[in-house]
Amino acid sequence: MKKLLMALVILAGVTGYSVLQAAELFGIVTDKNTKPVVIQVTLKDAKGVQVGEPVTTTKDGAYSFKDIKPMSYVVTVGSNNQWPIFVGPGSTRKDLALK
Amino acid sequence: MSEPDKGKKDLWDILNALGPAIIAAVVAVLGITYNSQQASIAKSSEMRQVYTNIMAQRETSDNSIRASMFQMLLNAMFAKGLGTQNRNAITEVKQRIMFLDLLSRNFDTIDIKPLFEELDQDLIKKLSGPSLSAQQRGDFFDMLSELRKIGRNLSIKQLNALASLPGSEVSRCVILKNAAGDLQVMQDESASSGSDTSLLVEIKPQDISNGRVEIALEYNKRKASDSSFKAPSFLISFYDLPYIDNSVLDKDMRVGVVLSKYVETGDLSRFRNRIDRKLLQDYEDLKGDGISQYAELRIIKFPAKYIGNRDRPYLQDIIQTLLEEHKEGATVKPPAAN
Repeated sequence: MKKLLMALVILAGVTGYSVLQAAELFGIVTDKNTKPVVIQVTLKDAKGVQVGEPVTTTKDGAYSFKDIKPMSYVVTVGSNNQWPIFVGPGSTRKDLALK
Repeated sequence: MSEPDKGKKDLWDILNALGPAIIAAVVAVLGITYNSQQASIAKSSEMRQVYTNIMAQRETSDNSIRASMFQMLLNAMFAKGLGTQNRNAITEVKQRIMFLDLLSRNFDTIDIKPLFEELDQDLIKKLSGPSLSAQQRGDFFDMLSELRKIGRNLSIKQLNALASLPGSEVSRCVILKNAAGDLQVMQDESASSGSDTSLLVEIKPQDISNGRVEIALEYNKRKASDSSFKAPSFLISFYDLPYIDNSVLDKDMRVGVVLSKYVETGDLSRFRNRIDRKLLQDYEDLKGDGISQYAELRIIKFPAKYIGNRDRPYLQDIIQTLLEEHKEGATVKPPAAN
């Protein structure tokens, strides 16, 4: 029983540790008039493969992608607004103004 | 026709009789009102004077404290020989960092970059020195990280203050160096929707090493006579402050570059247990992608009017512009009718 508990604790620790480790991309999406917009944001890698699930911005226009690998991505907002970005280690803020 | 009643007085007669009394009353009312207004103005002026005096006294005492503090800190750093005695002592380096932190927190408009740079380079030398134990090396690594954090916090604070002002614009640039020494630059477009494309600033990286990025800023000068002008290359570290370290982008605009992140993946093997646990995997990922150094720069373009009067050549230029504008305003003639 003790061994099982120990294993569970270690497993939880390793899981928690891995969650803490990854980079994050966040920011605010605004329209032409710099007003926050509620819209879908998708993250794709440099090859065009979608990373994780698309997120919808909050009423304040905020979005975030957590636990991602630091590398080049393309952020797609709505249907045709795209921004290439390199997400660095730790948190990276990228505010997006729709054209 | 009956004769008018001689005893009956009309309105004119009444006014005629009361005239002097009415005039006296009006004069009295005007006098009281005037006195009241004068008293109010005098009181308001007195209050303003008191407020001005309090503020001036506060400013004077604040300046006095700051001057004493500045003198004390510099004396502590130089006069007492800090940094020359027992240079390997951890506590001494910690003290120097604390002094620099104090200086940067209280005097953010003076250029103390050389003090930071000197300690930064000193710590880098210590880290590569042969006579240190793993514990000492780790401690010096922590202190170098702390020193750079102080510099970065100050520069980001100034960047954010400038970015919040109208007419300012911030963009981000990532520079990567691989194991072979090749550099790759990725510049994001500005978050500002009203970006001025006539003042595009391009970062040309030359090298990255030891927490410094060597870059050249290339841009088109909108109003300058020499359109082929190119800025010389310079080194950017965590201690470059946009209030102080900025370049003339145009007569009306300045550009400052801030180093916001710097990572050497080689630190993983030397200081794994000293790196922020949250960033370990990010370091691993970068290293896995063959990246040896990662630097993130923030480029801020801002109106020159937010800069102080230290730039005397440009101050003269500003005065000249104002004089010309004043002259033009004085001689403006109405357009001729067709």
